[in-house]
Amino acid sequence: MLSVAAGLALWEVIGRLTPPVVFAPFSAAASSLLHTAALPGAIVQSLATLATGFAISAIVAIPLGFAMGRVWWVREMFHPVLTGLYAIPPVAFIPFLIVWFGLFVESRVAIVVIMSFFEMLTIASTGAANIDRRLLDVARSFSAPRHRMLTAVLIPASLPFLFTALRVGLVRAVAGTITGELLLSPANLGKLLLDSAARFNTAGILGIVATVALLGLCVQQGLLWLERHVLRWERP
Amino acid sequence: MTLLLRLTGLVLFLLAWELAGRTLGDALLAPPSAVVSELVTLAAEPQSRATIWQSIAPALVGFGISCAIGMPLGAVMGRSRVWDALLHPWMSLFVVTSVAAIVPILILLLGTGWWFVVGVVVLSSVWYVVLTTYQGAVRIDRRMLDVGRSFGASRVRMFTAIVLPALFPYLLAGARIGLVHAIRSVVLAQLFILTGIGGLLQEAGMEISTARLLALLVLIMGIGLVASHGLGQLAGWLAPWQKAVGERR
Repeated sequence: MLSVAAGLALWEVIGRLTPPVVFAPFSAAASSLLHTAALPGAIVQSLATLATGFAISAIVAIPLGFAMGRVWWVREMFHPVLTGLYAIPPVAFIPFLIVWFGLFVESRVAIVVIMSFFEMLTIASTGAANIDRRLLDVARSFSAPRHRMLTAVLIPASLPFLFTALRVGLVRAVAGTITGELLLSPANLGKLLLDSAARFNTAGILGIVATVALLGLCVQQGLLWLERHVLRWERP
Repeated sequence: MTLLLRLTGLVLFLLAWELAGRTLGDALLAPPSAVVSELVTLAAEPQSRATIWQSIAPALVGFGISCAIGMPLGAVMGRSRVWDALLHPWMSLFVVTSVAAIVPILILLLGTGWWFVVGVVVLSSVWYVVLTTYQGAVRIDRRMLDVGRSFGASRVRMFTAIVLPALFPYLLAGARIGLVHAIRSVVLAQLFILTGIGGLLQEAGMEISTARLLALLVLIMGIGLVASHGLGQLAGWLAPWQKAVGERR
């Protein structure tokens, strides 16, 4: 808390000492945010893009990651191709996405999907591969039927890493949302950001950047809270 | 057997791509055969080669700066509570903030030249170097330090004989993750200001055929794979005692 306060104070001091075009103090950024009427609407629109992209990405990445972790031939078959695709920076796909999906919502959702997909896939597959064998062995010794095995052992044992996967993926999805809004046709928060930049309104830019940062932090903390709530047994 | 399966996966992927490319046509998805021939033409053009070098140079410079700042910072944060408390919240904030959001302000501060690209690279890769080094520094075995202390080792000696070897694999892992992010962010930065490989991508996106675009994607993939694999090999060679660090994340 103290460090945050100190940082904000430092921001304020530097902002006051430098010319306003270069860097604006914290107070100016905050007040410019309050005067941006379009802000709530933009945040809601951005969140909608974020949620759609993230949902699509999670629905594909988590089962695939799970299969890759548990079934060895699936892993070996997908591994080389996915490693290759992962090595391509997501933003490099943007011109290609424009060809396929145009400049608007569809493309923005697609970039969110691409940016969050591989992280979730990697974490889900590593986690699934590292499920404690002994848990499975115990279930097998008690000759648990397959569906019991799934509900009583596999799912509870996977929840911790699934949460991690979702959290990391969600943070990446926030980054993807803002990237899409800046690099495709400007929209929502990205548009506000670029508008401020075009008017050399540094306070406005910083305000939006802070909003984006807060957004990322909020979704991360929200999932962490949920995780702690659901995974009571994991708590030390 | 594993090799066979891996090859099968790769071949199936290429076949599916080729088939999809043939049916959809070059305008939507150029098949791999067309992409390979485009890649050869691309490599033959001296101008493209120069442009690609224009992208690699700032990535390397920015990566160097990131390591120079990030490694000491991560080590200090891992070993000192005060610095950790002071800097950690800000670091988490920067990690979750997309660099893309900071780009407009960087353009105001640094212009749209070479240093802008370097700035984007530093801002996006330095945090990963710091975080990985930090994790290494936090995990240094207390008992090792205690042994050093019982033998009355000086601070310098403690650092060179205990902390540095224990930290080394993390430094390399951090460098590797940082380099991957450096390459990613160069593409991001150059897509904004349309120079280097970002400019090439943008131009290729305007063309009717997607062959050139896909060839560029394959090229970037190659650069990324070579860089990360190369650093991985270097890590295994320099610090064989702890090879597995950094496999995760």
